[in-house]
Amino acid sequence: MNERVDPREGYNDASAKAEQQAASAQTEAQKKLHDLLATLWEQRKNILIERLTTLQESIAGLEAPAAEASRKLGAETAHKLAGILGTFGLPQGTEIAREAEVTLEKDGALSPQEIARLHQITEQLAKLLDQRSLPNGR
Amino acid sequence: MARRILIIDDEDDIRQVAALSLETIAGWDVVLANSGGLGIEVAATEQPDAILLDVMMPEMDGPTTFLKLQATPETAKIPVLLLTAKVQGSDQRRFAGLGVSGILFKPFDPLLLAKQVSDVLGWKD
Repeated sequence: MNERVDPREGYNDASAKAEQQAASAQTEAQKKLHDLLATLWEQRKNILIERLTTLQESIAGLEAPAAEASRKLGAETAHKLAGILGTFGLPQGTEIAREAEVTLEKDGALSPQEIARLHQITEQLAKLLDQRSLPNGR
Repeated sequence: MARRILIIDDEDDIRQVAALSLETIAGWDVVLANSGGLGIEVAATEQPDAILLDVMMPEMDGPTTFLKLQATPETAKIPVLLLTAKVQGSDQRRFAGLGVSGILFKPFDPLLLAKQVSDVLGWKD
């Protein structure tokens, strides 16, 4: 039998194999990164919890005489939390920390409703950090 | 040869996650600095292929660090990408007006950071 073979077939096989190998290496790298991030989370979660405490204290200090300093510290802390929580798999944490940052950076006095919302945000953040810290949390 | 990236950020978490991400996913070499002043020194000696530069840092912020990098002959040509958690349009316009190579936003996805850097800088490898 005189079989005719497309000369591109060998090339296509090699190309598909190379693609498969690259995909497999990428999956391995992703798994390794996932494990490294889980370890890093374990090392760093207490620092994030400390930041949340700082934010809670800053918000509690908003009605005190030195409210301006509290507000600045609160905005900076909320900014830091917003910048990292999503990277650790807590996008909702980033969203509400950012909301707190924007509120704390506003000009003028905050309304009682805004302050109440800030307290609510810190409670929500505490819950999210708690859930993320559970063994099966991502 | 592996790319070399300098990350300048005062936040330990960000430096560590970004470094793990770029080393593990892209195989790049990463050097770190925790302040603008140190970052300028490291950039001059290490000559990285690109710099990821945080915006909000105490003492010397990202924009000031960028201007100093530009004013230093040894570092003037190194592409700089700002890394920021500021997402408001006015902030973005201000940063873009500085002449940086790009702006990346926090929080970033560690799985995608290397691709984002490559895309912005037009790196094909």
